[in-house]
Amino acid sequence: MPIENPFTVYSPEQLTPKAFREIFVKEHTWINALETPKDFFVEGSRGSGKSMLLNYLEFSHQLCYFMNNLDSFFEQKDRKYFGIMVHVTQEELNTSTYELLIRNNLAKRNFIESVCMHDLTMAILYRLLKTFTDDKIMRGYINNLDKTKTVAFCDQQLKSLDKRRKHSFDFSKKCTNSNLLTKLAEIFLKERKSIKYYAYDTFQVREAIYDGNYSNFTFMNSFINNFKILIGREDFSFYILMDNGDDAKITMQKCINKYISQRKHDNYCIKIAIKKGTIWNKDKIQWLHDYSRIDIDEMYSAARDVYNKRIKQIANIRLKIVDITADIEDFLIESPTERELFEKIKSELTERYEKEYYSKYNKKLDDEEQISKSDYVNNRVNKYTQAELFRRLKKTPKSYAGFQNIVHLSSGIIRQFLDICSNMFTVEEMKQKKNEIVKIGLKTQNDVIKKYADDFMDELEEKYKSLEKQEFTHEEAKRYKDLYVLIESLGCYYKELLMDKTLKEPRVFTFTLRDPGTNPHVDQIVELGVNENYFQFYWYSSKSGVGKYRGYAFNRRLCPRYGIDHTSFRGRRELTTADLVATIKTGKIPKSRGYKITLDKFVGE
Amino acid sequence: MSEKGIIRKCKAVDCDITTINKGVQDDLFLSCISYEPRSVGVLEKLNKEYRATTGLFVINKKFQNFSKVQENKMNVNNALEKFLFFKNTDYILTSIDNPIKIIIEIDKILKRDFQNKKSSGITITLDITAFPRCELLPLIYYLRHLSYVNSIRILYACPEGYGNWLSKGYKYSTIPPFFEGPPTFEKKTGLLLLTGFEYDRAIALIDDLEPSTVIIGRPIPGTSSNFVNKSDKIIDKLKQTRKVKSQIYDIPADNPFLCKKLIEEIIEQQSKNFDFYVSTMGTKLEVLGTYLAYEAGMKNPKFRVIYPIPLAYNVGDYSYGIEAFYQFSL
Repeated sequence: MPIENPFTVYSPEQLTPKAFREIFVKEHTWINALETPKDFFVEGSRGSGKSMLLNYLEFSHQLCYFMNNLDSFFEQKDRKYFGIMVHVTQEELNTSTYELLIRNNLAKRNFIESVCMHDLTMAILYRLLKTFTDDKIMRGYINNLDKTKTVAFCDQQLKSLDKRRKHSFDFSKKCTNSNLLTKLAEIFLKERKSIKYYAYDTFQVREAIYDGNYSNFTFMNSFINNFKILIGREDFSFYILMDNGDDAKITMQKCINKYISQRKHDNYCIKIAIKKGTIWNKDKIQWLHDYSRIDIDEMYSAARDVYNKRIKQIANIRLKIVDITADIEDFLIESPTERELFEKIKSELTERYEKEYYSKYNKKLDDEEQISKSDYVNNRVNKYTQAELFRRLKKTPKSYAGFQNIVHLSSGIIRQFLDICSNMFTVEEMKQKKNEIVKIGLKTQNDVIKKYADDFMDELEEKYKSLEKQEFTHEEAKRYKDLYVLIESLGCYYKELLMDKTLKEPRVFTFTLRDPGTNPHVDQIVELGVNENYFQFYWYSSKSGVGKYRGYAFNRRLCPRYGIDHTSFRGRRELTTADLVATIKTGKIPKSRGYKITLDKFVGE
Repeated sequence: MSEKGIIRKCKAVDCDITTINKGVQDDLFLSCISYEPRSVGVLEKLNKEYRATTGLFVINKKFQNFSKVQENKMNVNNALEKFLFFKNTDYILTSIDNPIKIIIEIDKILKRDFQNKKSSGITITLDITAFPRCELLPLIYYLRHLSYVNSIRILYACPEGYGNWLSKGYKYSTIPPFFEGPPTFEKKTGLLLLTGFEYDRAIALIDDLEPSTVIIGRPIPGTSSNFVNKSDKIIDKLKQTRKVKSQIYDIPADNPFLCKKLIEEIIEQQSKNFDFYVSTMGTKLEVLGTYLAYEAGMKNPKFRVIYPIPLAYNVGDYSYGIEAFYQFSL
C-alpha cells in the first residue's frame, strides 16, 4: 500500500482489509475484551482509535487475518463471531425524522418509537445480509448451501416480517442463493423506505398512512437464529458494530438501549463507539449488568507503558511501509544536549540523595537497607531530575523533540501522535528530498510541536471571539472565554510550581475539584474543557481513603505553550470552585490557600 | 412571467417587479425577514400595482428581537401600509432546529386562503434572498410537491458586497428533511463542497465526514464582484491544510439550471466509486441548483444534502446594498 507520508491519518473506510491488516496493531488494545460476546460502549476522544477497533472485528477484516480462508475462520476454537459494521451515519440511523415527528406532534410517541425500532432492525439485518453477499468468498459459500433450505429460510423470514402482505417475491425462482438473500435485503431496504415516505407525507401535512411492517429484537433474534442454522454456524455469534454512535438521536438511542437490555448474547451483541462527552441516556440499561464499558482515554493514561508500546509498534510499521529503515526512536531524535544535561543532573542528584540517606541513617547497610536506600534515592531522582532540567535551562526553550516526548504530548490519543508527526514529516519534506529523510530534525520537531500547542489555544480564542460578536451567543462566548482564561492561568501556574525548588512535587499537571456542583457555570466550563479535549478527566481517591475527587489533567499537547513538564503523572493541585471563580476573574490561580499538593493514587472509575 | 429555465437579471436601480402573470394578482408572496438590509429588497422593488392574495413573512425565532430584524420588519409594515400589496398578511416564527415548522404553518395558511383554488391552481412568488438554507430546501420541496401549485417564481436579491466575515465557527451538521438521499451508503464517502467564504465550517465538515474524496465547487462568476476572490482564498486554505484527495470544478453560481447540470455530471462521473454528500455553502442560487439536481433524481436519490451550522452569524454587517435581482420560474 503506497503511503506518501508515513504518518498520514486514514479513516478506516479508506483502507482495504489488506491495508488495514498491514497498518493495524492489535497488541496492547482491548481486542480481547471486545471479542467476548457482550454489549459494549467504547468511549474515547476523537482520534483515539475507536473506529479502528471496531473495524478489526468486522467480518471482511477478520477474514483477511485468516488469509481469506473461510475454513480456517470457521474452525477457530474461540472468538467465533461475525462482525457486522452498521455505521450510524452511513446507514442513516442519525436521522432526525423521529425527533421532528415527536416535536411537531405529528404522530403518537409509541407509534414513532415502534417505527424507529423497525428502522433500526431493518438497517442491521440489511447490513448483515449485504456483508455476506458482498464478500466474494462468503458468497461462494452461501451459493453452495442447500437451495431448498435457503428458499425456505427466505420464505419463512418474509412471512414472519410481512404481516401486511406488502411484498411479493417468489424465492423459488431460479437464481443463486446469494441472489435470494440479496432480494431479502432489498425488501428490508424497502421497509426502511416506507418509513421515510410516511415521514415525508406527514411532514407535508398530508394524510399519511404508514403501510410498512413492524419488527424489533424478537424478529432479529429469530432471524439470526435461523440464519445461523442455515449457514451451519450455530456456534457463532453476530457482533453488531455501530460506529459513530454519538450521531444517533434520542429516539434511536432508546431503541439501541432496548437491544442492549435483551442480552441475547448467544445470537448477537452490540458494540457501539461513541465520542467522549456524548450524552447517551442509559437510564433503562445498567453498566455491568447489561453492558460493559471501555474508556480508551482513561485506560491509556492508567497504562502508559501499554500506550507507549502500541504507538511504537504503529510508528515502526508505518516507517517500514514507506521503506524508512530507521527505528522511530532514531527517526524522531531527541535533543542530545538536553539528554546530556539530564544525565548529568541525574548523577548529581543520585550523589546528593545518597549522601542525604547516609547522613540521615548513618550506619552500615545490609541488603534490606540497600533496597530501602535505592528506593529512597531513585524516588527522589525520578521526581526531581526533570524539574531540575527545566530550571537549569532557564531562558533556553525546552526541547520537546524525541519519540518519547511526542508520545507524552499525544496524551493517549493516537491521532494526535500521528497528526504531530505527519506535520513534521511535511515540513521536513520541504527541507529535504523525500527519499532522503532518515530523521526529523530537532528544529522541525520543536517548531511543529510549539505550533500544535499554540494552534489548540488559538482555536479556543477564535471560538469565543466569534461568539462574542453576536449578541445572543454571549453566554456561550463567556463559557469559552472563561475556559480560555482558566487554561492560560493553569499553564502559568504549573510553570511557577515547576520552577519552585522548595516544592516536594513540582511537576504538577492536574487539578482536582473538591466541591463540584456548587457553581453551575464553573461546572459547565470544566465540562466544556473535557468535551473539547483541553482537559482529561480522572477520578482520584483521597489518601485518607474517604471519597473520590474529580481530577482534570492538562491535555499534554498544551505543555510546550507554557514550557511545563509533559511527562509527569504525579502530583495535583487541589482547588475549590471558589478558586476557579477567582481564577477566571483575575487570570491567576489564588495563592491564598498555599500549595497543597498531594500524591494520591489515580484510579479508574 | 419568466419562462422556466430562463433567468432574468436586472440591476437594482432598474428593477420593477410585477405579478407573475400580467394583470392577474399572485396568490402567495413568500419572503423571509432577516438582519440583512436586502431581505426586504424585493418588497421595496414591487411595482406599486403589485397584488397578491396573501403575503407571508418568515422570521427566525433566534433573531426576532435583534434590532436589524425589527427595523426590517418595520420597513415591511410601512411598505404594506402604503401600498396594500396583500389582502392578508401573516408572520411566522421558525427555527433552524425545526425545519418542518415552516411547512406546517404555511400549510395552515394555504388551507385558510386557497381551499377553493385547488382545482385551478395557485401561483407563488418566493423571495429566497434571506431564507436559511436548512429551511429553504424543505420549503421548496414542499411547494414543488403541492399538487395545486401552477408555478413558483423565484426572486433573489444579490448584495453589492459582503461584510468582513459572514459566520464563524462550527456547531454541528444537519441533513434537511427530504434530503437524506439513499438510505444507505454502500461505497466510500465523497463530499461535493460548493464553497462560500467560510473556512471553519468547510474544514469542520471534512473532519466530521472524513470523506475519501473531496470535490470543491468553486463559484463562478459569483453573484457579486468580490465573491470569487474571497472564495478562492478559502479554497487555497483548504487545499493547504488537508491531504484529502480533492478536485476543483467551476460551478456556475449565478445560474441554478447550469449549476444543477454540473452537479448531476459530477455525481454521475464519481458515483461508481463514491456515495456523495453535497454541501452548498456558496450562493442561494447554488442552493436552488442543488435542489433541482436532487429533485431530478428523486426516485432514486443519488446524494445526501448536508449543511454545517455555524456558531455565530455576523448579524451586524453580513451584507450591504443590492447589486441586482434575479428572477426565474421553477
